Amino acid sequence: MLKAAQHGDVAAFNTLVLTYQRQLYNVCYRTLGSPEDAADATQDALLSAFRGLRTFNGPAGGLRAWLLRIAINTCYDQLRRRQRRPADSLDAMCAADPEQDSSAAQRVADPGSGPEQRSLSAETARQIQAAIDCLPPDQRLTVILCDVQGFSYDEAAQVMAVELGTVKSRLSRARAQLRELLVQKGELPASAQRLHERNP
Amino acid sequence: MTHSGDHIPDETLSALVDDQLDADAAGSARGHITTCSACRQRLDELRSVVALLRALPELEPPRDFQLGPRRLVDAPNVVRLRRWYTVARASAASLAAVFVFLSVGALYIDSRPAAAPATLEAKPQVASAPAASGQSAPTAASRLAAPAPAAARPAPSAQAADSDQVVAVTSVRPLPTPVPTPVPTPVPRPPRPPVTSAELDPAGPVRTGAAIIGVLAAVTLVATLVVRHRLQHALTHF
Repeated sequence: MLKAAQHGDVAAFNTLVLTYQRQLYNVCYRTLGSPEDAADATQDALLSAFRGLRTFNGPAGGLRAWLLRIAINTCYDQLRRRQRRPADSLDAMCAADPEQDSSAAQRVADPGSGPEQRSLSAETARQIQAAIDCLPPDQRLTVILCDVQGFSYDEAAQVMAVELGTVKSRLSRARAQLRELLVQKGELPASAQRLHERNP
Repeated sequence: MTHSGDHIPDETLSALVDDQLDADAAGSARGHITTCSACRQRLDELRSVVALLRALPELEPPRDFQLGPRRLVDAPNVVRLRRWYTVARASAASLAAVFVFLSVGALYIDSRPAAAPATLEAKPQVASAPAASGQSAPTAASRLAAPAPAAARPAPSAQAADSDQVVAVTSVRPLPTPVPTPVPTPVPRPPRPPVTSAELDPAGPVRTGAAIIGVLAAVTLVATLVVRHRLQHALTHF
């Protein structure tokens, strides 16, 4: 399948797309905090991947990490563009008071995917996403890969092309900052308690 | 974020959450936690953070990202067209700026009329000045121009008049022969040394450059519009 895609077989590549598009989209969404931006980033990443697939010479098992790396780089590009547009920056929101936080968090839509898949309330999910958006990009990606996507440290290090120690360090800083933000927003320990009650 | 004193650093607590500490470090950390309520609370909160993050719903992509033939064909084109559009637009803007600069320069040079025509007019005046003085007009005229004999002609005719006067001299005291004053004939323009175009039109080279750049700017502008049209078309059908 991979070989065929590398030789320009679109059908073979689309099979790979079907396999990975959901995860790529979710990583992009959690990184960018916007469904539209995430969809654009996912599409751009897949197009880039198709164009550069010939250069991929790793094992088939490394394809997911390779695709995620492309998606992450695409997200970085988008984040850099946002930083050049201060109006779109979420930094102001992160520094604002909690009342403003809640209204700003509304901007981060959380479409959800049905009550059966939700173990968090939509509002709690929005607050968490808003807190994630306040993290520096490197920490944000690390926490998304390790805690949201459930990657091991090694996998995250492979995707981000960094050392294992860097992953540990970024992850601990990201978690500590999220803890502070969620405590400020009153999501801790209340939301965790509710979560524990729903999933004992 | 690390805590000073006896408290456990965040990185150790984070690794403890993931069971990434070796046995000794984990034992030491757990031993501390049993006696330190602050670290125990931080550990609990970190565990809650991780639990909340893991509970975030996985979202359904809003659309299918499979690549269709059209998209495959257009996608690289879009990238290429965007690049070309950027280059063409920058080139057109630069050329237009240079064109404006040169045009203004040419106008500025043209707006200094006194200097250039005055020098050209001065030459004939200089050439006619000696003729007007009458001192060596024929010589000067013959030196200056080929039709100078016209200016020298009065001399022989004056001599002939003199010989006629000799006949009458016997009886009449000759009157002093009037010295023929050379008539300041209009001095034909001397062949000027080859005048360069820069002398004739100092703004000429600038104007020529402006014209060339202007044409290039127009061509680049058209190219930019074509590329933009194609880009919009590609994006519409993307």
